[in-house]
Amino acid sequence: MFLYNLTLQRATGISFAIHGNFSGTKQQEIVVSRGKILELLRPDPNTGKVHTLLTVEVFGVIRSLMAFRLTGGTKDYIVVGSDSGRIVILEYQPSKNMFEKIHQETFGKSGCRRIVPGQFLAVDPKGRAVMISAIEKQKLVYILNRDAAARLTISSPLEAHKANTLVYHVVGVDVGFENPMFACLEMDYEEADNDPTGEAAANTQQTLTFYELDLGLNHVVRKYSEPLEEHGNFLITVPGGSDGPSGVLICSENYITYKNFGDQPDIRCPIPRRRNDLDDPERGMIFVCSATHKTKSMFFFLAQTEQGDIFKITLETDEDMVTEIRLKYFDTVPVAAAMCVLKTGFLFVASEFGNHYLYQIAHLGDDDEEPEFSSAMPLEEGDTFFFQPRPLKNLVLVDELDSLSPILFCQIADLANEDTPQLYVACGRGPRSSLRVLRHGLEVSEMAVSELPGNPNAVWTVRRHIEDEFDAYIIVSFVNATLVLSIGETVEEVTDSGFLGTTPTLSCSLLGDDALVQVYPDGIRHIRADKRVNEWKTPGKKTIVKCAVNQRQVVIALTGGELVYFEMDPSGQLNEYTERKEMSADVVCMSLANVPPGEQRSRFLAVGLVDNTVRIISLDPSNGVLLRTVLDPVTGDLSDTRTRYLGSRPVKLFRVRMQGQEAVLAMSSRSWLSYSYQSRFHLTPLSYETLEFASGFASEQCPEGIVAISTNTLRILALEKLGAVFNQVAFPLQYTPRKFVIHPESNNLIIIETDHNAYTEATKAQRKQQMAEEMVEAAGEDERELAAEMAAAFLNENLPESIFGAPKAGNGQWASVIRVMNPIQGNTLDLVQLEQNEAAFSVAVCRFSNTGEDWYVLVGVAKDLILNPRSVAGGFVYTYKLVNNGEKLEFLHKTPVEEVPAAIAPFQGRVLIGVGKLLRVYDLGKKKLLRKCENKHIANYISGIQTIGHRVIVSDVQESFIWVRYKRNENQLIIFADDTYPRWVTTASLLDYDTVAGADKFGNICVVRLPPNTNDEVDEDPTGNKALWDRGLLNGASQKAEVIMNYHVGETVLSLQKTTLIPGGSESLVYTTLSGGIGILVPFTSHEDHDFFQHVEMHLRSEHPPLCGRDHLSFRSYYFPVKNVIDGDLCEQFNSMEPNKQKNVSEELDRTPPEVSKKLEDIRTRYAF
Amino acid sequence: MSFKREGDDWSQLNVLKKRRVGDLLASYIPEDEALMLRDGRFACAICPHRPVLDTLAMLTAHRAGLQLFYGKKQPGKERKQNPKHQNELRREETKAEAPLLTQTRLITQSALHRAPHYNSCCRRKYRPEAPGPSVSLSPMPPSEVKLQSGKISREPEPAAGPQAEESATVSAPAPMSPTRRRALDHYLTLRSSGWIPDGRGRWVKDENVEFDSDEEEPPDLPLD
Repeated sequence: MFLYNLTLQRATGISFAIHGNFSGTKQQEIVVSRGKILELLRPDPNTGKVHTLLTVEVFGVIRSLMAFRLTGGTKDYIVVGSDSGRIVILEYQPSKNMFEKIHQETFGKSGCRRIVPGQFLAVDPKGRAVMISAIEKQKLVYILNRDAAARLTISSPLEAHKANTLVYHVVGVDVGFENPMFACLEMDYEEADNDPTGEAAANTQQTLTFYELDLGLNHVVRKYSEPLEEHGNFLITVPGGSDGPSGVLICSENYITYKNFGDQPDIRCPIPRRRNDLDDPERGMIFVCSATHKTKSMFFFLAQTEQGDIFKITLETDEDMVTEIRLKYFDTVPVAAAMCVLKTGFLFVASEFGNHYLYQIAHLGDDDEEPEFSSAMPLEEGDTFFFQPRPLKNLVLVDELDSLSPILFCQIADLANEDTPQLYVACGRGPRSSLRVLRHGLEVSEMAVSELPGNPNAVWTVRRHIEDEFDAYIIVSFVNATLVLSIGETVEEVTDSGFLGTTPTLSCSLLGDDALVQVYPDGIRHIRADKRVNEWKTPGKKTIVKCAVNQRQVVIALTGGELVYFEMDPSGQLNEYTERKEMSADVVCMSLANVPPGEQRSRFLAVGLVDNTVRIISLDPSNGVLLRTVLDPVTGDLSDTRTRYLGSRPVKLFRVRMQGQEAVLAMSSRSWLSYSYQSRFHLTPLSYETLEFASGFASEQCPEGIVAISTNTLRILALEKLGAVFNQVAFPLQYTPRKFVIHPESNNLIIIETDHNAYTEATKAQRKQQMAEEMVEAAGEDERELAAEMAAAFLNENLPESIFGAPKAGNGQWASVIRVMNPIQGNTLDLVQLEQNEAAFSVAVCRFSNTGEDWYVLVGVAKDLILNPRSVAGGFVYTYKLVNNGEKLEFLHKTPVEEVPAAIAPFQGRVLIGVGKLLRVYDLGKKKLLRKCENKHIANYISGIQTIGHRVIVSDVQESFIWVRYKRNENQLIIFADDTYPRWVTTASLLDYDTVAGADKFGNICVVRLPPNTNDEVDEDPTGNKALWDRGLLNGASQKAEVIMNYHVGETVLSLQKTTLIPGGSESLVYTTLSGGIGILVPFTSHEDHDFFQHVEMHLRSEHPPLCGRDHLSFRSYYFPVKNVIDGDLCEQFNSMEPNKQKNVSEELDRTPPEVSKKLEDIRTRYAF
Repeated sequence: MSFKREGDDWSQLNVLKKRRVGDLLASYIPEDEALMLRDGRFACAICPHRPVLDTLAMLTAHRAGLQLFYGKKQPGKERKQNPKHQNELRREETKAEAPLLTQTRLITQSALHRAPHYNSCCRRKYRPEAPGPSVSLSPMPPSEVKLQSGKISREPEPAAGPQAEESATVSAPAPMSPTRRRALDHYLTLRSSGWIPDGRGRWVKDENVEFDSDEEEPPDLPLD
């Protein structure tokens, strides 16, 4: 079996975000890393929309990312620290739309290791040096400079190693143009390591260490080190030189501290806390991320706490000595992994989980009633400030980037009866969780819908002048009339446009610079800018049937297949050419290309005839198949034809503009958009109603829209999420969804949601009540009334948890719900709240053979589970009967078990439950589930159960798969085979009777198969001799599975399913990852295909090595050597290679570049989108 | 670490060679004359007391001893242990026109029959529970009917079961009457829900299995 890996949707979670002028223009861009993907985003300052300019998969783990700019430069470079053992400097080339590797310096082994640098990066704010550090011991400093040709140069590394030292964070200190300086949060563990009593370990302090790069001596010195009182978690550089006081801010638990050299005393300010917070007040508060905004005159920092509250931090200075830190509550946004403040006044928030946001900073929070906290305010040790969180005041949300990350579970099924299956994805964490339904297609935003007096048959938009940015008129043609609408603030009907309103229109367009042309069945109307009208009438009884128009030319086809050609002369006059051309058959369609810049006319006309003779954008008018062909601009040859079935109706094509490029809107029974995006050709259906006619549309509100007609309505639409494969509908959930099952009769979903460190609704209400009572009690006699009012206000306060976060209850506190949901409407049909500290881990819907047709839902629940050090008070299996047509859960009984029931699977009219490491068969009893059979030989902890026939495939949390056979006549579960590799299985899916696909928590996917001569019929050892040497080699079974395929995805895979994604397509193995990616593994159908792709992969590995310096083959073999899988993500990078390299590679393969990219496209469209 | 043989100790190499040859020759052990156990060991199915042997080599040695014992002192005894072999032998004997030919055929047959490397002593050619190529996750498998006749009344012999079963299914896949089938199903249902026949025609509860508190007697055979 050979498989081909294809990514359908790349990871959406963001791990780092940096901003800068990467393209070298005034506009700022954002570079984000999504684990193994580097992406360049550009927020449009006018519309506030974030566009993705470039996405590159780097086949390595991006561990750190920094932007830097050489002194006096205008362009930012990107430094990447990865697992490649190399430092890489990238430059964005806007002309080629690609990242170019400027430097790649090797310094160590590959992989994420303790002492190999890559984890931390810091740059000198003046762009003179970069420090790259490991978690332990090693730090390297590279000096950056320019050569005579103004190219960036990089020095050999300077070492700043210190053994036995852990690093927590590194930043470059802004010291102006003095020697570059780096500040590190470090901890020396040497003493603690050598002291067996553990006393030293308890007393070890974190230090703040400054490293100075002496540019004169070309040497790094450890300049100064100082122990810290609190344990810091990150550092913020304070602008220095001429811009500010220099130094660093240390963010630590509960405090933020300013430190600098010289006479500067430490300035410390507590982190304010929420008033009346349900969190444990003893728990410390930390800042998790920050952003700096610096202009010539001022600077401030925005720092976000782990609850999502952003504080604006300013420093008061007195002659370059900081005297005060001031904190002011700014706003609350979801907890971020990174934040960027842009010069245009936008704040980009890359959320830790869920969607990312772009906010506009509307106010700086300078003049409002919000209290400002200062380090100068007297406070007792351990005391802090309080503030009241509130909805957004200073920020305005302008754009939201969908992110599925984290995907915890996914099932693919056609529950909505749409002939294409939908992906039901449980994603998000805590109160920001959701169930999302993904459908293949582009999301359409409706800008306007208006009803028309009849059913129109065509629509066009025209500009008034060629240099106008926006369209001026919408022309709608009916069977016997034409309606002209003018576009302004609103769209309204006009009659003075010069268009003939009493006849249907065949086409209209801008002609020349400022004239308009209307083609109608009886003639052509040429409207000059000064409203003079020239008309050309058809001869005799002939009428115009088809026409093609561009800026200068008009071609019309009369009945009988006669073509008449007009061309505009320089004076703006439309002249008829006397020579007419008779076609052999009736004209079905015709088209003219736009006039190439600097030329008089377009050289080719494409005419489609009834007998299918001449075609350029070949369109078979009756079968709904789109052909996309390439027209050679010199010879006029047609080549590279690609065919796609679009729908059951004949296809109509419309030229529109999308993101500044030409795109084609194709309409059949479904509308499709064909466009080029990031050097890949996309053909994506629109998730919208059937449309009949369309035209591009540009106005101030909607610069790149489409005006379309559907029955008797006129619609203005916008397609904003180009490049997205799926459109999604999200339904909010309360806690992190863990698993769900589909009830086969009603198609309802039964979801279990579980959160650690959370309160249930009941406990929350109880705690709130308790706090309110305490508030009243604590008040003195005279303040009672006021306190009661405050308590009432507190009880009524209801801040949405999806933004403000849920209160953290502490370790070992769990909250769970079981939800029955309709997957189409997304409404909750039933909700069962479990008690505090009951954590639901598994769910199954099944029938029991002794109860007939009733459906039961079984939920495995752990009681009082503490994760570290692990302890559990036991578990329960809750049994519910599904009643009311699968809409309600009726509690039946609760069965106590000893350990966590983490896996449940229906099996032969009973259920198999994995209770910790015990595999048991349970039957439904009257008061509880009855244990009927047990196997105690699973290694650690059962994380999943699959069944087929009499075989049970158990996935162990650490020891891969174990095949168990149930012997009915002996009532025994006997292990007969297992795997030879230790895999930390997260999910598994059966491929056939002998084959199982599984994924592990390190991001590998494997397929293992029992050899054909495997024997199920093994017996229990009758000697009963359970001696140590009796358990087989390494606790294993005597028969072993074979590895069919191994592949490192690079992201933890949490769901696997074998399914078909498109109607009529072949089966593929679909996986979803924790970072929000969706991919498929598809089998090769022929040996030639496999051979071809293997060669493509081989050539690309050498011709187009990954961007961050990691070797592709070793990345895909991170944990297990890659076996029998070809990486389609690498193969598809063929399209983004430079043309000469493309040519070289394709010559090696005995093909042309278009043929190779066609093959790449074919295999994708055969299985997916 | 390497798995290369170190040194030039020829005697060690010879031992290894002999073991390898022994392993290869072990494929001459008929499937139903040994049992494979869960932990990879083997039980000899010829000896009535079912001795358990750790490795294939030991099983071969054990069988060599048997042949010696039965071959010298009680000829024919070994064969009699195995009804299938007896049948085969008898079948061969009845049409034995050319005894030499029969003998050679028998030898070739047994040689070809066990040709693949000996992996499991009791490999089935017939696997009733294996479903077709499609993966079905239905909780109810096709009902398993492959018990030896007369098993209900008698106490099932735990070790003799599989071979007897094998011979029954392979030699005579006779259609079963609906009543029989129901009775068999009922037997399996009772066994799998934790009831054990006590050998005197009654059913007792397995002490490791849980039952409903009012469940004193096993359910009767359904009448329909």
